[in-house]
Amino acid sequence: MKNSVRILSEFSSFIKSFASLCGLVFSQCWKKPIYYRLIIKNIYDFGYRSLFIVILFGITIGIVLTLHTGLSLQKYGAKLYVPKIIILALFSEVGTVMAIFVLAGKIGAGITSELASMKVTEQLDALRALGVSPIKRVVVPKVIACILIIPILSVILNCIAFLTSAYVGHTELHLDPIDFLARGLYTPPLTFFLFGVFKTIVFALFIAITSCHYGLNITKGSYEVGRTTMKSIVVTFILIIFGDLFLTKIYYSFLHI
Amino acid sequence: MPNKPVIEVKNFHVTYGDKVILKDLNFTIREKECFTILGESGAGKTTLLSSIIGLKRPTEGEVIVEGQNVVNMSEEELVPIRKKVAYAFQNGALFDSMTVFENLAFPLLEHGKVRLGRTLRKKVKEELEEFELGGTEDLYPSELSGGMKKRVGIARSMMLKPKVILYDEPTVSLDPYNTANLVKTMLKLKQKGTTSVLVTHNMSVALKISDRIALLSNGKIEAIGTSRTIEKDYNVLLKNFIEGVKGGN
Repeated sequence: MKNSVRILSEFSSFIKSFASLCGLVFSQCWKKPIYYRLIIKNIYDFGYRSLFIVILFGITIGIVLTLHTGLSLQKYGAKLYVPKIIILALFSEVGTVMAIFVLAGKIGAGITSELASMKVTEQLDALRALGVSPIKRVVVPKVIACILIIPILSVILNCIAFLTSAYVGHTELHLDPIDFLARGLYTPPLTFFLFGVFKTIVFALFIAITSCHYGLNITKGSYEVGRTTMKSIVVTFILIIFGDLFLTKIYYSFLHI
Repeated sequence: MPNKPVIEVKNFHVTYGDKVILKDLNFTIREKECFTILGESGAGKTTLLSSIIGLKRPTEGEVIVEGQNVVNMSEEELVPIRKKVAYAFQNGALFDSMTVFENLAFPLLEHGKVRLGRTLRKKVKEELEEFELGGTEDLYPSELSGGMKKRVGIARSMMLKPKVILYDEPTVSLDPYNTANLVKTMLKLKQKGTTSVLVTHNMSVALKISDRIALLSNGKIEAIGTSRTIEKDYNVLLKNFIEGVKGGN
């Protein structure tokens, strides 16, 4: 009982500080100076350095999904449905959410540990002491970079997974690759793809704000950095799972697809 | 005629939960003087020092810097104060992703005092020479010794030419050679007319460079006066402080 109360109170205080950090970031986004260089540097760090894992994941998901669905459907003579199922699965759930989980682990953990180390070594206080806002200089560029690059990485992962799927479909199921791609791309409406991208923008915000929140609020010494990073990733995953549930429900309730 | 007050601390009170850390502190720091707050570890010295530029907030009381109460100021309102009052952190707090040059150039670039180029390079080089750190421009903080880190930290905080500098335990964990070097740097800045506020538990450093000393114990100021008065009139308190008896009782 005591534990549940503690978790609830921790959760409510997290939601409060999450909202206040969102507000702070949003208000600081428009104020000068805008650190374009730092935004580009963060995009490079988060994007380029995550590309390898994204490509690897895309290839793996493409192979695994096609083998599972393809070989099962083949038994019932329904292998022509494979491209449709694959593209729906990739862009609506599997690809997008998998991409977000991987990026939350990689980018989110990086942000939390970097900010937490800066806090522990008084670098954030040093910024304040020099009359520079840590939110504006450190947090805002990271949030903007996440919002810009995470959806792109997710789309890249999905495209690679789909291309791999077409290749596996050709080699394992003897499906024509051009026909595979055409069937896949013409299946869902445009709003479906746009919704997938919108979801990744929301999840990118979850990753960036949660990891910054935990990094900025570390209270103990450097031994706490690892624990805080782990906590931040777990909370990000929970937010993504519930966010996905909520957004999917909204999509099917209001857009009547 | 005494110099005008730069920092005034009035009815300063800090509590963490039920624990009273600092109670009812009152003192004034005047222009160009070197004021030292002497006290044992955990006495709340750093809390007091960082409250002067609004890094921490007291539970009650006022901190008046150049006529403005900083206690209720927002981060944005504090920027002009932080340009005038520099803070030298205990371990330097250098940005570890930047070289020494970039660390020193940082405040100037951030506040648009100068652009990236020859002038900036010259200014940084001059400052490094001043602090006897020539040739360290391209080194990262991880490649510097403890004493060098502290001196780079002080050099960085001096880049905006502040009127006041706050030193947080500058000599802690330094060997005698580096301590002497740092004291030399601090004396140099004092001679230039920079008001200094020093927080330390190093008695010899305090007596060497301070004009006035405040002895902080049990959350309150036990004695305040010139270095000579403190050394002469409060020798029991000092002796107890050195021997580790709390409160000088």
